[in-house]
Amino acid sequence: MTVTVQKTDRRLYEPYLRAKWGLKNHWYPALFGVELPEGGVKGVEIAGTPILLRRIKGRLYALHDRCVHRGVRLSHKPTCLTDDTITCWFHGFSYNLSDGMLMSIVGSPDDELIGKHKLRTFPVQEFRGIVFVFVGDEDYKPIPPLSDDLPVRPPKNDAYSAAHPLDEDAVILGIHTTVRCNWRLATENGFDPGHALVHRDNALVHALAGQRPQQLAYRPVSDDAFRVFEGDGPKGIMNMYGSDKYIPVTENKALNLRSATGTDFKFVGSRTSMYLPGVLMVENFPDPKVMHMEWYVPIDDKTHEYWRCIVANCPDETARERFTYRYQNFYEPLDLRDFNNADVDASEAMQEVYERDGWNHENLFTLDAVLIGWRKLVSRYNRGIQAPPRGSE
Amino acid sequence: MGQTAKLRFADDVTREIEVAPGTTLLKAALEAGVRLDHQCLSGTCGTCVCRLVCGAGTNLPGRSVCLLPGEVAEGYRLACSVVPTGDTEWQFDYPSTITDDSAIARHVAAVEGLRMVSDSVFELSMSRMDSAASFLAGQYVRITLPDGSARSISMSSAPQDLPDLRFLIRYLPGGVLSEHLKTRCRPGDILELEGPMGSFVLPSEAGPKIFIAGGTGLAPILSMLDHLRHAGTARSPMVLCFGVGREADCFYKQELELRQFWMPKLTLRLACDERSPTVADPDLRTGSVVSLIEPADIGPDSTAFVCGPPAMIAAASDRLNSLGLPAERLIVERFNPS
Repeated sequence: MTVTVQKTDRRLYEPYLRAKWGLKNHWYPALFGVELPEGGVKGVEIAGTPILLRRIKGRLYALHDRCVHRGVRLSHKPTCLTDDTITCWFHGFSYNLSDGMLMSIVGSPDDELIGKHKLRTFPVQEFRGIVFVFVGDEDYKPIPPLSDDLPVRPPKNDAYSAAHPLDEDAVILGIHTTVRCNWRLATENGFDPGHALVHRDNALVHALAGQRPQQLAYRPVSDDAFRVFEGDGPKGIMNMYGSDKYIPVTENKALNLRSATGTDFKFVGSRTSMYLPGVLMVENFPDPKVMHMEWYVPIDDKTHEYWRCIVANCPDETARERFTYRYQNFYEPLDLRDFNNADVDASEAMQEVYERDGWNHENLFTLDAVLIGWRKLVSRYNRGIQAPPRGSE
Repeated sequence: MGQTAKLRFADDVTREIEVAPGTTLLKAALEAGVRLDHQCLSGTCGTCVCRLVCGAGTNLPGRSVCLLPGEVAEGYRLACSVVPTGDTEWQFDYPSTITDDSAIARHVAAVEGLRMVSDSVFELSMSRMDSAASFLAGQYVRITLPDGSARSISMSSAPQDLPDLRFLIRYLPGGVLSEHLKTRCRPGDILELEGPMGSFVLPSEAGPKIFIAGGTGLAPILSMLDHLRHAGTARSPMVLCFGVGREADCFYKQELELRQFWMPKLTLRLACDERSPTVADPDLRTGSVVSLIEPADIGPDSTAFVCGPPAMIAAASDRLNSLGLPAERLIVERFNPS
């Protein structure tokens, strides 16, 4: 049976509109591995869930970051009295790292509560220098592999193929910062074919002026301008830039606006694509063969942790050193900071209106088709919508 | 015969339990399967407070309890710390169902909207005005009408949609509820609901499911589907067979299509007994809802949920049984027009 609901019916993406607090049952990046050295404790919040991360004797642990006693965050003042426990700094409730069980209380070693309460634990793993946590239902089974929550990996003979986190020799370097914007708005900005205008004067565009054209926008001119990934593995949607399905817009005569860099370059372009739970892949950007990658990790309904990364293939130590040098002197300052700060600015500008019911007062235009595709994709393939935490609404 | 304790609750329920010498009242109650509200188990939090009506008890040695001397003088004790001596009687300030997540209670709700979704079906939207308990998807409430009479109606909305509640009601000419909805009910009306009730609910296991709904029997099934969807647990194959009498009675087609879009594991089949000469929807098969059931729908760990009029339930049960569905995996709810 076919869906006869009008394609324009907003109800098709009603679940997306409800997903204020994020999608549950996904792997989210929590920290870079270097932020959690041996013996370290850090607290993060993902999709309204406070999570404590601990690395001890080379092992990673992730626990609910709220003492069962008064609810304070253990990470507020990390206290580890033994290698296999964490103790609340306030009244000394102490928990096993392995299963979260309340194993002692400093002032009441025989307390009735011991052995009866526990902190829930979360699946956690470190991959390519990033600590990932699986956030969602405690009984979700089976837990999907991390690769299902990363961008698709195009075959290496694909003209657009670039470095991918799943490549054996992939190295990921990046930063993450807190942005006051709901995660959905940031995802939509991230691969919006119309948003190139916000980058018009970014230093990166001028730095690359001899190598790649600056586009003012990309306009879809065909039904298959974007490709949707709905099979096994990652679920996502890709702008097929560089094909005849999308026209790069370099000039607007009515406004006397022209691309600053001209258009006459032969280069392998960059496609943008977005995957659940909010992961951006930009192939061959800012350089050919590297990947620009972003995550928009929901913190609460109004803020997200914005991850901006560069992925490169580094088959040996020399390649790694070269990548690190270029990362520190070019990718991070010009792309991840200057260029992406224009995205932060756009996202925060949207938050102001979307938290006042902007979702129901949009006038979308032809360049927004892929965004609606994304909303419907999330509505159909989410593994559950995160409910607002108790007391939040 | 050991010593006994009578536990009296605010809902006039009395439970009698045996208390072994030296055992606290709370421990004896929990061991006897009587649920009492409690938390710290150490005399600190005061959650398990109750009043000694008759008899005597002493506190466990070596603990301090949080009761004020005045409270003790009035007979208050903490169930976790008091050891009854001899036969006793205790009063609890809360109903016996306190620790039951979906205990039956009285609620008030305001009518938000009322519309006809087909020639013969009302959709009633309400907003519950108190925020206490939830319900299980598939349950119903008893709705009290201004004339004092009451009717049972199933929620078509999911628990996650609370405080919003939705119901589907078949229009029965002359029926008390039907006529009330048709002639008097207006947005803003306050109605009293008693519930939730009913055992037409989802089992805990996650296996494949087939839902068979006749007419407004769709309501509790829609509640189940939306519950599974909101909870992110709609991961096993699901089939929904929905049948109506006349083609013009068909309602909620787009609502169901949306569920099919949102739930890739859901297969949707529609039928009507009688075709209409004017509508002729190609998505509706002609025949009974039972004719929509296919042998491949029933696997070894499938569960079937059937809701509708008694004759349809009987036919669906026979059909499911003949396809090898064990009786314990058949969950039914009978709907009678009212």
